[in-house]
Amino acid sequence: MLWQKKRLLYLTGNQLTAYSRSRSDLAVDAVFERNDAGLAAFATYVARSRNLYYLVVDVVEEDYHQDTIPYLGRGDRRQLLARKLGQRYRDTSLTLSMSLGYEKLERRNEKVLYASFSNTQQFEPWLSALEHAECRLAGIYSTALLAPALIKAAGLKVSRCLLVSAQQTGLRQSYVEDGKIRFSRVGQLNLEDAQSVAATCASESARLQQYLVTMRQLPTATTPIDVMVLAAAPYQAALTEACRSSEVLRFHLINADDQCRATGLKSFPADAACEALFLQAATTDAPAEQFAQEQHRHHYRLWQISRGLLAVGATALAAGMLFAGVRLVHAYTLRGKIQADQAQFRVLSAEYARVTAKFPATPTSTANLKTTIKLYDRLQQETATPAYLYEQISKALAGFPRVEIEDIDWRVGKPPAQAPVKGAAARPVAAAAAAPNADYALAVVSARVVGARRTDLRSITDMAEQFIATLKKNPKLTVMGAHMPFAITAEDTLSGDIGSSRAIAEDASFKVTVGRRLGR
Amino acid sequence: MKLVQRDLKWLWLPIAACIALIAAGAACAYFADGYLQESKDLARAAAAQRADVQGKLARANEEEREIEASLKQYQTLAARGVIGEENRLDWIDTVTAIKNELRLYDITYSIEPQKVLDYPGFGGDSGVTFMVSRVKMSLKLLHEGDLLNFIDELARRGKSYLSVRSCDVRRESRGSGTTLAPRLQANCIFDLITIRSPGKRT
Repeated sequence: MLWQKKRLLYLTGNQLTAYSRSRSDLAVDAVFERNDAGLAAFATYVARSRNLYYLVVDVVEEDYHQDTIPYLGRGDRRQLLARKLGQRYRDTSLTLSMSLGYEKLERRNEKVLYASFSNTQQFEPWLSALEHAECRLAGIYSTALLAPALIKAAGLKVSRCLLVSAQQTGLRQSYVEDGKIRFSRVGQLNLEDAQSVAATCASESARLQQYLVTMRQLPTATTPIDVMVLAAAPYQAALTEACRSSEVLRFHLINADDQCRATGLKSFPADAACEALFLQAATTDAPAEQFAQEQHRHHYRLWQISRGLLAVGATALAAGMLFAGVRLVHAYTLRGKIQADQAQFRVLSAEYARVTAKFPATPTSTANLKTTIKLYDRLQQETATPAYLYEQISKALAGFPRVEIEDIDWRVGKPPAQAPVKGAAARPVAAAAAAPNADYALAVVSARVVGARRTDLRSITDMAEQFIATLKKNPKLTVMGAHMPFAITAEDTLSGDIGSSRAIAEDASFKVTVGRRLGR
Repeated sequence: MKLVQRDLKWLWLPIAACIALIAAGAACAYFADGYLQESKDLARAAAAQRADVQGKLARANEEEREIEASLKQYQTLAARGVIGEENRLDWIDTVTAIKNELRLYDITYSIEPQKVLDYPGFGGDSGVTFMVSRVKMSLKLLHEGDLLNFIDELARRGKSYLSVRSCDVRRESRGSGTTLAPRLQANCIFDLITIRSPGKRT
């Protein structure tokens, strides 16, 4: 579907010749006369064809007209050209407009060439057959439109060139300026007589030069033009004799047979070398402008869309495969590394098994053994006996003979929430900071100051504060809270019994909580 | 160019082919990417496995020493009775013996049913189970030294690991001088911890 075989149709006034073109061969498939039988045969020829068709028209009835239009935007230009074509030609079904460049003046007017076939009715049966068969018609070209491509293929690099070709239709003369067709016409020719052909070429070239001067296509009568004479090999000798260059005509004789071979055609119809060159140009170097309208090229456009869709899909597939290829190469490299690692793992495992075989026999798995001992060590770190705190409290108590312990509530646990020292005096015994989530060995020490009078609040409070301060000086302990004998702060209620002889301070007790963090 | 309904007969196949080709390309990319990711995961796992055994091999001597040390400690615990089933009669005998040796006053105790130790970090998913029996004990003491000696002896001679959770020692009386009578009342909570044998070597 992407690459289609090409069929070339060469249409003259009285017949249509179908050619098939392969890579380097151009062969006549069939010749269809312009009559009912020929049209029917052509309809059969193109039926159910999936080839690409190029129609090259070589008829007398054609018109070329130059015009100048103002410099316009794209949309306006298109509308103006369509209107101009409609004004000039009664039937615009096979017309074209071609830009010839812009004037080098301030207004930058555009020079335009209009081209049309005068008698479009002669094409209708052929185009209808193609349309009916849903053929992919790539374009309709006149031989004049293809003339610049032939001049270019022959290697002539001149600004003004007259292509004169001797072919079945007659003597075709196409004037090309700056690579664009400007004018073309067909004259009669007797191909049987080489001398006549040569003489006609020479005389018609001179006559056309005069015509171009008259039509102001050439600036002056002495403006020289190059004439490329294209003819088959049998005419070359006569042409060499007849076509002699002058001041205004510089002849370049091109052997059509040799030129066919030069353009890559190894085989072509012997009696139609010039036609073969036009057909070759239509498939290899066709101009952008051609006569077919969108309705003629509908199936060709569908084929282009199909080709575009397939190209998009193929590009996506190629991109996906390229991406996948890069990924797979990376993965392949990784797989090699994995195999190397696994091989090394097996070797190392065997070595490790050999080494561990020498390890002492254990009553349980190594992991369980280690876990057991690890947890047991942790258990030891997180447990304690009261001995340490008893010893530290005892040391502190040594300097306070009047302080007597009533109760020591020892436990393992989290430290109590930090609370203000109840009943603290102006010099408060503040609680030290403790880690809230750590386990502590804690001792709540309940004590009292003995031998003091109930009235001697200051003495009792000072004694308790000094005892707690002594505990605090011990860097191994953390004092976490205290409850003083009397509530002497302004926020609490304080009651007393001044003067009473029984007021020995039996209730002058206080509490202090000390702790030591476990596991450190 | 204007497309009409009947043009679809020319275009459906290229459209389908285009979609199929795009899908095929995407599938190639998707599966190749998946294969690469899988390879990367395998490569990471293989490298980690190799590095692990490499590290273990490098630490083999150290591990051997570690196992020897652990084994020695394990055997000590097993010989003492910490590893194995709890034996309450032995423990009571030990308490009785210590009481007599230290000439302590009456001791009352209460042992709760054994359960799995619930200290933080001693969960049951490690393969080793620590069991605990909570004991509440009351003692009458002449002085606090008796309590400390009792705890030391119990920890040393008991077949279970002794974890002292609390001890509240309260002065009962100030004493009258010459009479030898208990002056302190201690209420303690102990945890008797044993390690359930993790089983044979696996």
